[in-house]
Amino acid sequence: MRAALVLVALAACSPDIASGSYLCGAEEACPPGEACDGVTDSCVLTTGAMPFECAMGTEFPGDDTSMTAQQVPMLACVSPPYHRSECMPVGDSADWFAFATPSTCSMVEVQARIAFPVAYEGLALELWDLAANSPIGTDVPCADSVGDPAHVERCIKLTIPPGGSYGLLVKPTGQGTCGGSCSYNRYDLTVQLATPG
Amino acid sequence: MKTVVALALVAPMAMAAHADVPDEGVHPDGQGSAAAPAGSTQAPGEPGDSPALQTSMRHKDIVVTTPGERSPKNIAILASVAGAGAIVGGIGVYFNLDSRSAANEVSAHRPMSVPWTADRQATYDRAHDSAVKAGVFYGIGGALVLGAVVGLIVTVPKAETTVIHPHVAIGPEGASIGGSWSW
Repeated sequence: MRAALVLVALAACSPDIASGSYLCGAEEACPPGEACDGVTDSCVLTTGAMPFECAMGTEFPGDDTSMTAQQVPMLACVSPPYHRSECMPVGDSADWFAFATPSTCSMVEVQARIAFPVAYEGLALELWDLAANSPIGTDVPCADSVGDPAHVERCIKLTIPPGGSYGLLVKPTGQGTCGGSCSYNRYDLTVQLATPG
Repeated sequence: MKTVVALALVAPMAMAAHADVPDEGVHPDGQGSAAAPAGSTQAPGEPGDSPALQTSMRHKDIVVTTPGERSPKNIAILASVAGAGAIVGGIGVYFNLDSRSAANEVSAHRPMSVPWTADRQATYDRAHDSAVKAGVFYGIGGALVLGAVVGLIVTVPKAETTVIHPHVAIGPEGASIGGSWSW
C-alpha cells in the first residue's frame, strides 16, 4: 500500500489545469492547450474560446474627439465616484469624457482612475483642459491600487481650478497588442471631485 | 579431467577400514563408508598370501563440490554498475519530485482570479522538463541495474567438483588406505 502511494506520488508530475481556472495573462497568455476567452477574459479550452467582444452599451463610436466627448453628469465640489464601463474595439483610437467643475468651489481635486485587463492592449488616461485644448495631467500607477494582478490600474489625482471645462482621454498605448492581434480592451472609468489634500 | 593417484601406507593391522568423509561439500550419493564396499577382491592362491589376510576394498566415490568464488574484479564491476544505476535512478527521483512540485504549483481545478503569467509558464515548463529528465534517468538507471543483474547471472563462477575414489587394502603386514582424485 505504501509502495503504491509512493508510485502514485512519483507518477503525478504533470500539471492539471481545469478550463477557466486562470484569467488571461498579458497578451492573452494562457496555459498550454487553453486560449483566452474574449468574453470572460479567462483561459478556457481552445475549442471553447470566444473572440473579444464589446458588451452591449459599452462602446460609443462618436466619442473619439473632445468635441464629441461623452458628457459626465455635473459633479459636486465633493462628489461620489462616477463609474463607466467602456470598451475600446479594434481601430478605436480614443474615448473622450467631458466634465465641468462647479464654479462655487474654491479649489477641487479631480480623482480619475481606469482599470483594464492585462490580457489586451494597454490603455492610458490623460486629463485635458478643454478650454485650452491641452493636456494637464497624465496617469500614474494608483497609490491605492487593490492589487488585482489580472488588471492594470492607472490614476490621475490633480488639483484644478473651479468653473472649468475638462476632459478625460482614454487611448490605447500600443503596448501588449499580441503582435496586433489583440489591439482592443475594455475598461472601467471612475471620476470624482474631492477637496484637495 | 585430471586424475591423481595417491597412496598412503598405513599402520600395521587393525586399521579401521573406513574413509573419513568431509562434512562439507560431500555429494549425498558419495557418502563414502566402509560399510558399503563397492567391491572387494580377494587374491587366493597368490604365493605367500593367505586369502583371509589379503583384502582390497573399493568404496563408493566421494564427490566434493566446491562452490566457485567470484573474483574481486567481477564483484567490483557488478557493484559499480549496480551502484551507478542506483545513483542515476536517484537523480531520476529528484527530477520526478521536482516535476511533481512544479506541477502542483500550477495545477488548478477552480477559478482562481489570477492571470497566467510568465512565471507560471516557466513553472509549467519546468514541470514538463523535469518529467522528461526523470523518465530519461529512470530509463538509464533501470538499464544499468538490469545490466548488473544480467551480469551477475552470466558471470556466475562454475562450481568445482572433485571425485575421490577411495580404496582400502588389508594385507598380512598391515593396511593401506588410498585414493585417487579427479576434477
